[in-house]
Amino acid sequence: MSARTGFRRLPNDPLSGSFTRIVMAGKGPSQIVMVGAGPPSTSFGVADQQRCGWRACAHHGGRDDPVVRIVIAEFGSATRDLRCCNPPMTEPTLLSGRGLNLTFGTIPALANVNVDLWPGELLAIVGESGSGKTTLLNVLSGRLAPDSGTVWYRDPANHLHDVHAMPAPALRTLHRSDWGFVHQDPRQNLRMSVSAGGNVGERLMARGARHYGDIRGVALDWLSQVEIDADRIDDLPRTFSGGMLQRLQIARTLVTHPRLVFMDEPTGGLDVSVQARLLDLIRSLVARLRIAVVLVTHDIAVARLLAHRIAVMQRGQIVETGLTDQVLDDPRHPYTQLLVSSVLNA
Amino acid sequence: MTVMVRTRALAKSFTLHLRDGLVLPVLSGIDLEVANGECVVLSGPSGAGKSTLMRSLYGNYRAESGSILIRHGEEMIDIATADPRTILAVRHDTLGYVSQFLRVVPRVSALDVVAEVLLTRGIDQDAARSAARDLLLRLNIPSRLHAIPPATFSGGEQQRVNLARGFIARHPILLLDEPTASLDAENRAVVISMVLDAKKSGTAIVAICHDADVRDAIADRLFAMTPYQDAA
Repeated sequence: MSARTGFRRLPNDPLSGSFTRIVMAGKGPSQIVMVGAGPPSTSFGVADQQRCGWRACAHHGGRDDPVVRIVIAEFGSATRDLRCCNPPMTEPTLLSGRGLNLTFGTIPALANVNVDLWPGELLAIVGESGSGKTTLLNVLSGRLAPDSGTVWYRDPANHLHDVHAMPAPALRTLHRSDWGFVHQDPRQNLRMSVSAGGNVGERLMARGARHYGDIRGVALDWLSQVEIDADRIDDLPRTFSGGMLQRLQIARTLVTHPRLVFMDEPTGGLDVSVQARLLDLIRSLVARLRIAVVLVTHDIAVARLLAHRIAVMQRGQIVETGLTDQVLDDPRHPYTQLLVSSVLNA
Repeated sequence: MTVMVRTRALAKSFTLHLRDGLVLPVLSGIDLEVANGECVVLSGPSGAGKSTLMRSLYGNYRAESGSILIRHGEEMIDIATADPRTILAVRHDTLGYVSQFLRVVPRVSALDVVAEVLLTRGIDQDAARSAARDLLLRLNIPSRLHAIPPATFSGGEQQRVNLARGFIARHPILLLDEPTASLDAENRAVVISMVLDAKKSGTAIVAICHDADVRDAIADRLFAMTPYQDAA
């Protein structure tokens, strides 16, 4: 089993024509997924296909599943080998949403949404306003409970946590340390009556830093990383411009080196020139610190510039997902085609 | 000889949902094979699907059926069915693509645009910049332009920055889409020598190239393509 690709080549050589792949997947270690190259089959859920990124037919179930039995009979030894393998896509996910549903009155805000995020990956969620993007972000970050479904977070010690079943203090601790949240309106996150340096230092103190000189030093370093002049460190945020406030919010969020950051339209409402600067900043910081990001944006050009993968939402559903350039250059779903054809030079 | 790229019965069509689901078939039954150290030039009239095939090889377009096997280290990866993260890994280590147009983040200098490719491979900044500088100079981009973001460059200069970006990482497989389209004779000669060097070092190259002189200089063989309706 290749550690990198998450599939195993079977005894029939793939170069000699049709071939079959088998990967481990499913909800528990005892389940296996069978994937064979060939035309898409209805026997495999569309959502599962999209989630795995395979264009394939497959079945999953335990060893007693009739299809699994056939494949085991056909590829006996290979099948057994796979039982100790990793799930598909090699690395375990950092954050996974499964079967998320939420309705506001009669309006479905989320309809059976599945999402995966890997460490160091930037996933953009795009769609028009009202499509459920921000609702999904709030559910993934534990700020809003779904009607049904589960959000799993894997901590650095490799333990899985059900985000919505966590005690409130544990979730708050997570938001203060491992996680960060960048709001469209920086005033939601910043303390407007505390100096710029204090805003950055506060998150460090919440995590236990006590030495004033150290905290001020780190704050200064972060202000320079987000291109705010050092002599503004003692100024109040209300004397800052919109673009500076957004950069200050990013410094405040990233100072604790979170592993996962949620961003809600971080460049919304900013001038184009300020936007370009901020995008360049987010891109380089995220790559350098290997932070995983879920980014909500209605701006497809922003998604193209920043995201590894993209998920397109419409009426509470993820209608298409994949590699960013694939989805934008070769959109398949009618709504994605409409979205892509409606923007200039995205 | 090692096979680096192998497609089998590759087919691709586009379904235009905004045009009442009109289906445009572009590729069908494509069996292409490219070995290491070999340069195959896709040939055929406009609309024959050359760019579509190239983009499918890169995983930019999603194949409809058939397979696209790319040698990635010791393995053959099927780009047609690989998951997004595997495709990103293949592009990072194995598959380089020089498109016709440069698309980069605003505000980044030409030198860093090229050096960035090496930085993502863990090469330190000084070494990456020095390699980028050498390659830009070879492509006749003078030092005074290196610190300037390429958005303001001429078409030919942008194309050469793009070529530098594509060649610097020495990917084992290179896809070149009209690499000399907006270059003068002197720079075309530089690109030809770079392609020949890459071939000598074992790189497998697939190119689209309308310039007959360049094509004759780099191609080991042509892969003829015809527009879909004629082939049917």
